[in-house]
Amino acid sequence: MTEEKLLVRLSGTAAEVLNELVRRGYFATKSEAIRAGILRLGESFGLFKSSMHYWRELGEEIKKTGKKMTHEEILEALKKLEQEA
Amino acid sequence: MSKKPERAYLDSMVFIFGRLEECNSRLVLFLAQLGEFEVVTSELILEEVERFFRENFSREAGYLARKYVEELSFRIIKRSDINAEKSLLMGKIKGKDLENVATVKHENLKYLVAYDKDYGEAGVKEYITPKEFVKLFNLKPYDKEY
Repeated sequence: MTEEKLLVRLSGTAAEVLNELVRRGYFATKSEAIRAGILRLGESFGLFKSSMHYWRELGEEIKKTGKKMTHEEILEALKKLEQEA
Repeated sequence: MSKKPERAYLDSMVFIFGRLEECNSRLVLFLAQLGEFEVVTSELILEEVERFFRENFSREAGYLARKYVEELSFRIIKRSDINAEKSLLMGKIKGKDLENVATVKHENLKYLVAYDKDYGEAGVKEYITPKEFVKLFNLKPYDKEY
């Protein structure tokens, strides 16, 4: 896994937005907010499709099927999955 | 204060319950998405999650679920890599859990996140429920274990 350690100096609007994102509780730390921001940037430039992209798409697809599973049905399906493995 | 986990193996149930219900498994997935820890999975997990969503929802859902697991995973361990561990565990661990435990041993992981009492009964020391795992990040978990 590639690792980058950066010291980023922010001032003005960028610093204010970062502080506000943490103050409002959207992110627990500034590092977390910066990490999420970079991924969002990469995604919007089409560099990759993030796990979040597939998370959302999967949610939409489930909705589209109109099927809803109860907790018991999920457990039953999981059991079946294990038996067939 | 306890040290936050850096890597963990996630059982298929974490992906399945996490996508379908408001529960601790969902919190585990969100923590992974935020990069709070690295997710390790295996070919078995990919297959199980894909099959679950394909058989219970649609072919497209199966594909998207597989892609989700692939993108979230830092490492996906191949079956061919865990033969030695499987041989050692044979007879000690139930067949259905063998690949998961063998992968955890192979990768020397500290946590196997799942909700299956069989792991506990077999004395798998790496086994931890989603609820207990979430607590390691100082988050308030839902009441349910999964």
